[in-house]
Amino acid sequence: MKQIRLEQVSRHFGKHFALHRVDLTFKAGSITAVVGANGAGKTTLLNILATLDKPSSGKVRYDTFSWDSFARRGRGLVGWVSHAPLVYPDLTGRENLTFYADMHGIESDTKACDAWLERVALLPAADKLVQTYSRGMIQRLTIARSLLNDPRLVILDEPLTGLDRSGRGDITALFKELRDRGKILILSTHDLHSLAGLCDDLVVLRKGKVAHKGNPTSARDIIATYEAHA
Amino acid sequence: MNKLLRQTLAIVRKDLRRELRTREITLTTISFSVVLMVFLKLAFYTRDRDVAMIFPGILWISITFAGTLAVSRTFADERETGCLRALALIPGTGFSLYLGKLFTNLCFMLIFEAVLIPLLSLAFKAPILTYPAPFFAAVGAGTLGFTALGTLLSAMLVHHRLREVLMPLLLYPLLVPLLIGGVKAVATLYDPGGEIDSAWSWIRLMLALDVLFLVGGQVLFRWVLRAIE
Repeated sequence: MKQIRLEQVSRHFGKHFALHRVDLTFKAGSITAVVGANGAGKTTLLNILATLDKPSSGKVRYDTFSWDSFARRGRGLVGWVSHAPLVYPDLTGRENLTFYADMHGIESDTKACDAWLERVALLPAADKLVQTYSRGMIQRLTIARSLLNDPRLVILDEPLTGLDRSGRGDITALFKELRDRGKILILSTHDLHSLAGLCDDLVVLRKGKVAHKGNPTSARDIIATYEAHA
Repeated sequence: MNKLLRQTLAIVRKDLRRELRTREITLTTISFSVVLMVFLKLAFYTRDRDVAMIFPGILWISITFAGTLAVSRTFADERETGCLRALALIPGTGFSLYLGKLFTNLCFMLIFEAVLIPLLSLAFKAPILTYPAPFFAAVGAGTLGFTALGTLLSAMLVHHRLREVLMPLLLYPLLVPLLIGGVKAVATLYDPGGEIDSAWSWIRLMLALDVLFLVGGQVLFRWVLRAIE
């Protein structure tokens, strides 16, 4: 997938507009951060991009695919980290990943799962029940789950929640590696400091509209941009 | 391995593994079955010769009530963890999720029926092995139809606030034809003047309803999944 293009995309719930005439482009090999205050429309935007929510009007193009055809045929290309971990607490970390690998039809799933468990530093706890995991460990497992199927589009809603300093470093490095491999990464967060050196593009949403698009680099720039537009 | 089969087996394996650890569904349905059997024994304290009249009804009421406990929990795990949305993003789950949950529910139903039916047989002195083939065929056909419909309704109600109340309200009226077939088939076996062929006719009707519920369930589930994801 080379790019995703949104043209005049709106999503309303009754009379309330969660998104209003949004025009955006997300390119392969880039990390875009979507920020904004609560209720700005970040999660709605991410759900639309993940094909979990249909826009009320406007066009979303995934390369040449429309939103409808991508929702029918392209969902396997999406990796999604949401607010909720979307893993089973009564299963172990390894069992969770093996289950999702089987669902994706990934060959030699045990090897693939162990590789991901090692990548997110969970191999020593792989056979423990997820209900005994800390918040950070669950988040790392969630990220591994979302990347198991080698997605072209990775959507990350608050991906660094609960992670300690070293965990953040590991996961940030993983995101950069994915970007360098040509994936499209779109993340939303309230933790503006974590975006410095990570995101290539910044989109500020305000009351469902795009208030600013840019590519600030330092934490100071990002915070200043946010405060000026959010 | 075929992707549909692999996904279905993954769902069954995951649900059974989880059940082995928690024993939530098997313990509650078996306990409920025992309580129900005691209540029914007290309510229908009667002479042996009346068994033919009351046993078929008691059998199907017990299977339906205890079974409702099992099938209404079908998507509880997915609801509580939110995993339904992660599963919805995986291509092919519209078929495999229904089939997997159906097989899992059938396993739960067969486990509690293995306890319930001998208990009822002992309590009401109703011999179930006189005509084992039609008896177990009737129970099997009833269980399959009940599970096919219950699994679909459980998915439809997964996010509904009143799902525990709505489940029996929707499920029981739709089950009426199947239950009539089940009661008639079993009653024929206990009726001294009944003919076995007549029981098989009712079982064939039940099997036809099973096919209808299974095909309808499979077709409708894709739409349901899209609505609830």
